[in-house]
Amino acid sequence: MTAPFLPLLADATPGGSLGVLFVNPLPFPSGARLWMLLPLLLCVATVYRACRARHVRELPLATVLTFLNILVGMLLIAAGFYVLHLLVLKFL
Amino acid sequence: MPQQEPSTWRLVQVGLWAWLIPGAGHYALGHKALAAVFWAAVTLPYATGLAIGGAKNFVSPTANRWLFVAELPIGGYTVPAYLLSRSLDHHLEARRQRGEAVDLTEYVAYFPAADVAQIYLATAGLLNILAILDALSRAQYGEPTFHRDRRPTPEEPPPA
Repeated sequence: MTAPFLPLLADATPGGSLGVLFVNPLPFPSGARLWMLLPLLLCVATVYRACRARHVRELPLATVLTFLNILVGMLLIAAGFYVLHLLVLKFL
Repeated sequence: MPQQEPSTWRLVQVGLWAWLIPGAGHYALGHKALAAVFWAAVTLPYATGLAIGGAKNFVSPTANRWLFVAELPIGGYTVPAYLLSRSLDHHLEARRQRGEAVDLTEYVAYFPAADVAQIYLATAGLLNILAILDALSRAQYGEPTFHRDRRPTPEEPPPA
């Protein structure tokens, strides 16, 4: 069952074929972790809006608005928790 | 509403296409542009997560069971990735049996990359559930109906 994939592994070297891309994990800078939120949010906003779209031309503006809504909402939640954290440190 | 009630077989076909490849259900219904949007918006996070994490532990029901469950809604991607993961397990086991030293960091991502990969893969799988349900809904009921469409026009008296 798994035999077709074995030749692909035979020359598994970093930077090789598409198969190798999923065999050897890409190097990931730890500072990029928070920034990875943005493309994922864009995908979530796109799918959410596409489910409600009758035509693709409705999508760009609606997707950008949903993206900003989610982003601002998450920033506010983060800020709220940060303030809560500061209050706990100060009063408890 | 569509002109004809779709047959159960048609709904099953659309559901299966949507499960196999993101957007394929919409393509089968003739919504080609929407299909491309769904394909891109689901494939991008899946491919990114798999590239960051690696197939070995990130599409594996033994290494990460619940992540595997979250990935299952994209059958056309998860099944080949699972086979790749199994191949890697066999490959590494064979190397160990030959007495070779195996460095797992070549095949498996660890924190923080592991977190990002997991979130991307799980989100992609869950987004495809939305895409499947939307394709089925469009197959059965046609285009989405909004609340504003149901409001009575000024000429039309509201129903008693």
